Amino acid sequence: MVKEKKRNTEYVKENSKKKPEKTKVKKTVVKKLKVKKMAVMQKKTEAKPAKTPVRENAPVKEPEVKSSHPALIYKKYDNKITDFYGDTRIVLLPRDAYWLFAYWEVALPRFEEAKQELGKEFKDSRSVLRVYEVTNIDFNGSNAHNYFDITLETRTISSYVKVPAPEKSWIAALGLLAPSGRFFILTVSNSMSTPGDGISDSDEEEWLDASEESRTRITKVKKEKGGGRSDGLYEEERSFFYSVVGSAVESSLSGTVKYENKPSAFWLRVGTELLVYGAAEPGATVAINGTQIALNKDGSYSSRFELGSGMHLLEISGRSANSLYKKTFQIKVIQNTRKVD
Amino acid sequence: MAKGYLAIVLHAHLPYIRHPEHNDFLEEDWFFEAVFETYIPLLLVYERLVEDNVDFRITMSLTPPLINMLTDPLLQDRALRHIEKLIELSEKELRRTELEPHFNNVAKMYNWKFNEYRAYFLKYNKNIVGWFKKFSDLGKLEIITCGATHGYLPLMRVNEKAVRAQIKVAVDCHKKHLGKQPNGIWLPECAYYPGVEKILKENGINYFFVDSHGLNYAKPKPKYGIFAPVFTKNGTAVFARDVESSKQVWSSKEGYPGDFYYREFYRDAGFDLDYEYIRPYINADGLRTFTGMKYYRITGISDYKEAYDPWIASHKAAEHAGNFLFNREKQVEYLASQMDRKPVIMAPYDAELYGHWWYEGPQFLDFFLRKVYHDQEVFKTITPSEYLREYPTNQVCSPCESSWGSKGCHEVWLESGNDWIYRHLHKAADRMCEMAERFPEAGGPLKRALNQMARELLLAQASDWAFIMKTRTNVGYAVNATKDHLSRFTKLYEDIISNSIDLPWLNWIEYKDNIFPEIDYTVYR
Repeated sequence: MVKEKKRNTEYVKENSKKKPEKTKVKKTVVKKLKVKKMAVMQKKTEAKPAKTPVRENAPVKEPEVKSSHPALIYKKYDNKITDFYGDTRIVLLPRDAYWLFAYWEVALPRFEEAKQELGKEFKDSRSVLRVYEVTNIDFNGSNAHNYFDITLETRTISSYVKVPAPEKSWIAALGLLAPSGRFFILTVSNSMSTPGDGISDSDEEEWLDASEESRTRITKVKKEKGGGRSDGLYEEERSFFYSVVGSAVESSLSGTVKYENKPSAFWLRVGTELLVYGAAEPGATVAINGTQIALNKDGSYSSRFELGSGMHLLEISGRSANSLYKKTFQIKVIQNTRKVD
Repeated sequence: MAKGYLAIVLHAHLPYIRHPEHNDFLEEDWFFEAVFETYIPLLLVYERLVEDNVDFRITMSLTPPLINMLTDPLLQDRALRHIEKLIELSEKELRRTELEPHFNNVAKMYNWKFNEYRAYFLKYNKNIVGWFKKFSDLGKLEIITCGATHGYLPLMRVNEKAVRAQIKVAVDCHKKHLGKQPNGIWLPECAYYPGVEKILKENGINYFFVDSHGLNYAKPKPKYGIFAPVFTKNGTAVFARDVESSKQVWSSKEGYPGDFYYREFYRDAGFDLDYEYIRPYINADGLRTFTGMKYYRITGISDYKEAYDPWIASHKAAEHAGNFLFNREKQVEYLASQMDRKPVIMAPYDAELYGHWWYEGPQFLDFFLRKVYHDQEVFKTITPSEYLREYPTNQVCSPCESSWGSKGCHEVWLESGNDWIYRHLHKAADRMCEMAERFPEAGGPLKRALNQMARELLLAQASDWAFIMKTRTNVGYAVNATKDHLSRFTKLYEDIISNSIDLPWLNWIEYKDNIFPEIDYTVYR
């Protein structure tokens, strides 16, 4: 609810800033209404914002506070946060079944150590996020089920990581990958598991009696296959659920009440990634947005990026082995996902 | 004999917004509006149901920030001032609309209601927590708790002590103000991650809720789907949200609140009336704001609006309550035929949808609960605790990590607009634990500084800030709130480390960020 309120207040604010552009108002209204109620909302979107209150020339100013008020005296201590804490740390958080979020920071001394360790390979090494799949493993650095690397652009301090399958555990190591393939680990993250993404096919049943007298009694029952009764229950339920998830494309559904635009048993999700690929003369160096990427033996390369909505600018530059020739391409990608009906 | 149950759950929450340094602060209005448009109207519904001997059950979560605001003397006085100004406005409106009977009729309604709200507000000494408690003591209302500041637990879990503090501080607050241990919790944003049940159990909490897919995707597949609770391995019960009943209230097709005879939210006297006339009743800075006096009904999809008629709207609410009743009866009958026990349908809503957004919402609830009691025998309303007493044996399942946000997981609170906060929130949580370890038995100013650190951390953790950043509206307030609480936290930390606690400043922020006066920082040990 808080959220609606916020929207509501925001609405007020927007409207009170002179007279906003019509289309913009419509858009904000739609966004803000979300929870209010769809029916109303649909009406709103079609309606002209004529009722948009036009504000008479009231002065807009910060609420006044006396100069001796502690709020003013101590304002200097507010709103100050540092970007970094001088730590060497990487933290992995789950976003959903297929995406993780990692943020990190590396203190300078750690880089010095890397420099010592890698020697002259240091300056040619690239920052890599190595993501290990460690489901049911006590990870010791080399016993992961498998791993994949993500080459990081310079100066990134966080990244969303797409993982290939749900319900697995992951650990991410931030490190420097030298041209020789040597991987110097700067810091290793916590282990994080991703949730499942579907109805379990396990039919095992276990029951717990939590009444006062028999607090701990656990009965295990093996359910006979294909219990028709509960399946009937599920059929119904499943379609409810899917219809809710079906609205996922609408990019910012409120955290308060979920409801769907068009209830239906069919559901559809959309996500985008960007694959940049090409080839250069073997031996050449190729960089995407300043980050050098490794070429395959035949000179081909490919790199995968998360493609969130908005505009993305990529610069691919290549230099011949003898550094005499240089070529640069720019790619502008606009990702604009919207639900059409 | 009832064949099944319906559990209505209203989640009442507001972020802790309190600005003693400003006489009139825009965002504080959220609180006043919620008090006079939702909480008091709902309490009046309960009051009258009890007077008429209508048996009913409702479950409500009163979050700790809300309880702290409702019991804060400064906000109580400001709330009183708010309703008194509204009464004054409504009196002027009675005169202004004298020659327009349609509008005058509505103005009379407001004037009557505002006076009634004020009277009840004063009857409970401006502290309506006591009023909620009354219904809890009568057994009609089950009040449950939430995270201490509505912190988003799945993204806090890298420091378990931080999660534990969110729960422990909330339970203590609940006990202090409601006089008893909460049996259940509404996890902030309905966000569950495997393992949180351990911390709930430690704090005496026996049940929580998840969104539908939290149980649909549970392992193993629950025998009764979402229509009965399951137990996690440690015996904490989990109830799941029913989609059909939510849909009926809010969907575009079947939703009730969009009815053309219901009150239009966006036409407000604060925007419609002459500026000089309305000036004393809008924001002190001259910004036009909603006053709460709205004269039009939704009317239709165009901008053309007709006068609101409370009498017709009330009949519509009765009609919709009847429809909702009929649908629940059919649902329970069907479910009961599929199950070998009584199903329970969980229908959770944000409390503030009733009254604030859907003006007729409280009336709808009133009609609905009366109809449930008098007009049918298919189902009864129930609280989760009562259901667990009736069915103490439940299937053991591991719910799926989930939330009730868009896409069902954490994306709303972890996306490009707000992901920067976690680096700071985690660091602050680690520092808090470090300090609690280092000073196990602090006293004097050091203790005060440590307690204040805990308050600032909790305030920064509110999921509301991440949510506002995500919606890209009013971002400034949320970003500032996050940064301010974090800066205050960091200054306290640095002051303590350098053994130079800034006492005058500490006095000030203790006064300003005064949530949880009773907090004990050792909760982070």
